[in-house]
Amino acid sequence: MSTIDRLRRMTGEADAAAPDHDERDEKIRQLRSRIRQILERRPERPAVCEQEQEARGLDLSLVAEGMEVSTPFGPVFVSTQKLDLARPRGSRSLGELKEADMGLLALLAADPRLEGLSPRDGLFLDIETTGLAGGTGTFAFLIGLGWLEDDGFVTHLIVARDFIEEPAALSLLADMAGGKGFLVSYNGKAFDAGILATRFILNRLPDPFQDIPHLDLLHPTRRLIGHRLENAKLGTIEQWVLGIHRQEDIPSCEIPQRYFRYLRTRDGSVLREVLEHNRHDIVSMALLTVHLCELLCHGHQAPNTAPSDVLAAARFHCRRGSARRAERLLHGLAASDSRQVLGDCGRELSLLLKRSGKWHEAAGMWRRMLEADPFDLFAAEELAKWLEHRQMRFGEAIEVVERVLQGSSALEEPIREAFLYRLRRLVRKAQGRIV
Amino acid sequence: MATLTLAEIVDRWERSRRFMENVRALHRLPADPGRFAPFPEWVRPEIRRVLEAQGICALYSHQAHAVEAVRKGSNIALTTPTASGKTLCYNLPVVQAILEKPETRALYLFPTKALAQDQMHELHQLIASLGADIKTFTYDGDTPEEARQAIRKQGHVVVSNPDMLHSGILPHHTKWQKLFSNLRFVVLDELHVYRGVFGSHVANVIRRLSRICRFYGSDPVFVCCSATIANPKEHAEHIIERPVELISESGAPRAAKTFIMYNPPIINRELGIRQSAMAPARKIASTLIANGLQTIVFTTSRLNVEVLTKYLKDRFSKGRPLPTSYVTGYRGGYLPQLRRQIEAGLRDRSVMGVVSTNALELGIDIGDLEACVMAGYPGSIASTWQQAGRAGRRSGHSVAVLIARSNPLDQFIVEHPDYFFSQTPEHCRLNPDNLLILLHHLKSAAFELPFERGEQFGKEHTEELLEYLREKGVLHRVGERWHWAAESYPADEVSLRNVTAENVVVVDTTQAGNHRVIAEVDWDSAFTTVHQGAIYMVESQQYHVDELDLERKKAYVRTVDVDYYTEAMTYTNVRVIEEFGSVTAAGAIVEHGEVQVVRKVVGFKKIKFYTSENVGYGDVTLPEKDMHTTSYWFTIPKDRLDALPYSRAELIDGLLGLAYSLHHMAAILLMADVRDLDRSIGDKSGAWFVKHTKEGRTIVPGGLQAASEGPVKADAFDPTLFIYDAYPGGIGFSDLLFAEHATLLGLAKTCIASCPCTHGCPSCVGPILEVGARAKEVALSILGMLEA
Repeated sequence: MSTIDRLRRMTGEADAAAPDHDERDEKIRQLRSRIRQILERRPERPAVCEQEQEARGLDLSLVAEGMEVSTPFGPVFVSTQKLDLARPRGSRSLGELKEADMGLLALLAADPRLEGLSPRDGLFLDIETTGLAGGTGTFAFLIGLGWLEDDGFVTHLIVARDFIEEPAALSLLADMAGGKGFLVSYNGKAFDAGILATRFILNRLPDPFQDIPHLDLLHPTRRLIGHRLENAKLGTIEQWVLGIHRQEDIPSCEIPQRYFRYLRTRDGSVLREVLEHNRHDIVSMALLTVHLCELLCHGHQAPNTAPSDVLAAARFHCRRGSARRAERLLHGLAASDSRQVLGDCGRELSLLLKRSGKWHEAAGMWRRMLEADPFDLFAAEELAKWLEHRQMRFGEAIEVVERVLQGSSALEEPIREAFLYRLRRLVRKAQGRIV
Repeated sequence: MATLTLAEIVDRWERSRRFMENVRALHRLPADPGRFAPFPEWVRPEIRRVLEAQGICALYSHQAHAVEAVRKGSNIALTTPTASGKTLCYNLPVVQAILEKPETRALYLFPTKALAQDQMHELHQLIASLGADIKTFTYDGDTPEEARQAIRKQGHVVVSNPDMLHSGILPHHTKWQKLFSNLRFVVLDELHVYRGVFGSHVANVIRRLSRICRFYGSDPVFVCCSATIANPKEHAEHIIERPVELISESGAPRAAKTFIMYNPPIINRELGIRQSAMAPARKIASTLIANGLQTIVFTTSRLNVEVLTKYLKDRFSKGRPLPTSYVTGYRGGYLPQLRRQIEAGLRDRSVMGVVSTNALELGIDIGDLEACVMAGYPGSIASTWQQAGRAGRRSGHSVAVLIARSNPLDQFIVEHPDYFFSQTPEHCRLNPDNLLILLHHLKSAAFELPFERGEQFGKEHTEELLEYLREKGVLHRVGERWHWAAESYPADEVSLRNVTAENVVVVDTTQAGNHRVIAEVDWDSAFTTVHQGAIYMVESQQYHVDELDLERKKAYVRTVDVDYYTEAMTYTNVRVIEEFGSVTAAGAIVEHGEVQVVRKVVGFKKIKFYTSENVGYGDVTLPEKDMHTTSYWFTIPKDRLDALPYSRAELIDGLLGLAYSLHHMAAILLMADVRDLDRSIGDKSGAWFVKHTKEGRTIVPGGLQAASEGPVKADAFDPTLFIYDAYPGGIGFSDLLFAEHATLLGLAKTCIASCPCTHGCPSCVGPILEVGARAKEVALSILGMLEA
């Protein structure tokens, strides 16, 4: 008996035309299919099926602007669009990318190599794959690229219409990436770049991205904006930050199945939404780059910006060693009337000033905070500490502490205890027993 | 009380008539000075200096042989004993090659994480003393994410296990480009562990590894190490599918060891019942521990670990308070932290006695113990030597005592000690072309690299299987290639060691509001060990199972203190799907082929501690488990049986007894664990089968129409005796049994006829209470008829 017949028997798929098939055989067949399910545990969703192979639908070129491009490795399909720089997209336009400050992009990427480049050197990249599992069996069937030109933002979506077109797709990608200076992606460090590196190795082609600087927007976005959103998906960012509302977008999880359907039907129309989705992602990445730059530069003046974003931006600057920029953002924010904002921002700003040794300015901040809110415990404690340890002005420090203790009756016990302890020590010091 | 030395204790035993009555062999294995050979010329002087500083001024003869062979590029299989310096056989050529060419890479595979850790330690020491820039890393499930990238790029020697290679490394081979492009050595230690199902999987993982190496243009040398088995060369060649040079002659010196084979006395000749192995194990271990000799006791089941630990704890807590860890249990299912504590306790000798399953058999470092007591034959000669090796690994006099149980395997070994001490007859077998196993790995392989037309993977028709997977929709063919075209990650779908990877967690609910996990049980054992009403034991504490929630994979238990433990009762029904081959031998129809097996746990027995009395029954409601596998069977026409002068019921008993014996002899013949095979009596259609019930042995209708119980007319069928592979799809045992039908019957006849019992006992046809008073006689008659 052939290998396959034996296998079918074991997995319970043997032809129902077997000699005697009464009710019991049916039961056994069901049992065997249960065995098979247990063995496979996670049922694969079928990708390609014989019958459908025959059906031929619309060619890809009829559903997406684009054409077949020939490469030394054979043909591959590319859909190209040049997008208007001036047209408003949400609260932004792609033209703003021209003005992006490369110094700030270098900060965002934590890679100083970006400083010497221009926004035109950026290659925006987003791929669509046959799965999210990663590993060598995940295929990037669509490689979406975008970059800035004088008269527009160009997008090229390279589509491998079958596995056989992968070498052509990768070689075209390498050609297009050739002249570019840095990569921009959204979660590309963990996903897109890794998958592509694998694909280049599998096809024995050199990887053009090996040493190129890579700005992965996901990490700075999480840090700067993510704290106030339910998640850091690009769609969420679009909606709350970029002011864009996608219509009829295909959910990412459906994309692999669309491609498998395309493989068996050759009907280009099933991929139309996938191409649109990918192009949309690339445009959003460009707009997000503009937004992050502006947030880092102008703080609260950037559109759709919450005070907490600016605080995050200031912290970001601090971490990257630029206290001056952080201060500027915070000063701008501190002018706000909102008590809440002044509290949060003042706290951050005063600590920043304290850390950079600008004690008097910091003390000024704490006094202002206490004027706005006499029971701001943070400001009171910091001010008392400064007066006690730096200035030896024990009397004034006692005043600050007493005001807190008298004024607020609802102090939690440990905090109250701490202030009392401080007060006792200050009194001793003031009496000159300990200096 | 003055304590005795080990030599004094052994002398006393030898002088004691009562003790020696039960001893079948007392073998003094002499110390051996060893044979040495100089370092080969090519060994770099710095390596020599380091080894000489460790006191290694020459190699053992087998080491010299091995390092030369590996350097020449020959694949080798090493079968020298425990502690004969196998590690150096591969570490030396590997380190030498890396020093000569720093790009060189090596991959070490060990069956367990603990062993890998041990090896790392040894290699680290060598490298540290060399002061060389050689990076070695373990890469397993515990390796932190942030360390992984560095390991992939820089590790010269990557130490891992087959499971990790299967699910974590091969499917991501592009990240390991450096390793695979420069891979010159693959080390497979404990090769004999890779047999049966696990071995069949591992052979496929090696096929995938070879495929990836070909892609990157490397062709590594394989160094395989194994315990002593009969077919090491063949086995290694089955696993790596390459020619292998065998090195079996050890040149290592050996310390003296006394090996005792102990067969407990028959306490009821009528029933053929021997004293339980647990009683002498308790006594011997107590004597040794009481004299300050650190002792390890191996038992054959988790249950026995708990029972014996309880006995020993009782013995040593009498009269004086002792730290609770003075005697302790050790087995899989204990949480890792507790296990590490016990291992450390053994090393610093705060633990003087440990009762373990084979979890401690492989090289986990627990220091040098003085004595090893095996309560029950570990199932193979290889395992027995490894367990015995836990005592006195490096130096000094040690003792090993093997105590037989009543089953045929144990009895065969202790009653034929020559069989044990001379050339081992044990073969490792596997079937990498088991279609289900092969198919899983074919999927994983396709995920790793597309298949080209004409490419061969395994011995079955690769293209047919690829086309099958294409029809299933997981592969896509374009031109001459098959590509993986599904979203899933196939390596996650199969565990190399178990049919299902799921475990059942045991939750102690004794304290309301403070539920805690006390153990894990694998899916298959859960049905028999933590069913509702079972007594489950951890560290001698008894727990009553209140509920087994299969859906959530949890068993809820609470502590109890009762004087019994439980044993599950199961029934099995087998139905023939297809015959692969059929011959008629002496009037019986002998066949092998595919069968469907349906099993169900129907209840449990309550068994009293110490007396082993049966003190009650309980019912269990659990779903049936069904399996498709391969089997060997033979059918005896009923009119032939009717010619024998016995009643129908007696004939059934005789067949049950015969099946019991054949099952055990088959395990010996195949060198398989008894649990790798199973048996059943019924008819070929599955319409009737023989079942044990509370009332005794009856014939009931097949389990498929959920038993409309009640005995039926016994003469309705031609009885068929099945011995089948206990793994879906089969592991290749059945066709061998079919071919060896006559040998098997011969072995069974020797076993039953030479057994000293009167009516049958657990050593030949099974316990008389289970097979009836005339089973032995009837079984022999049937055998006589089958030979005619």
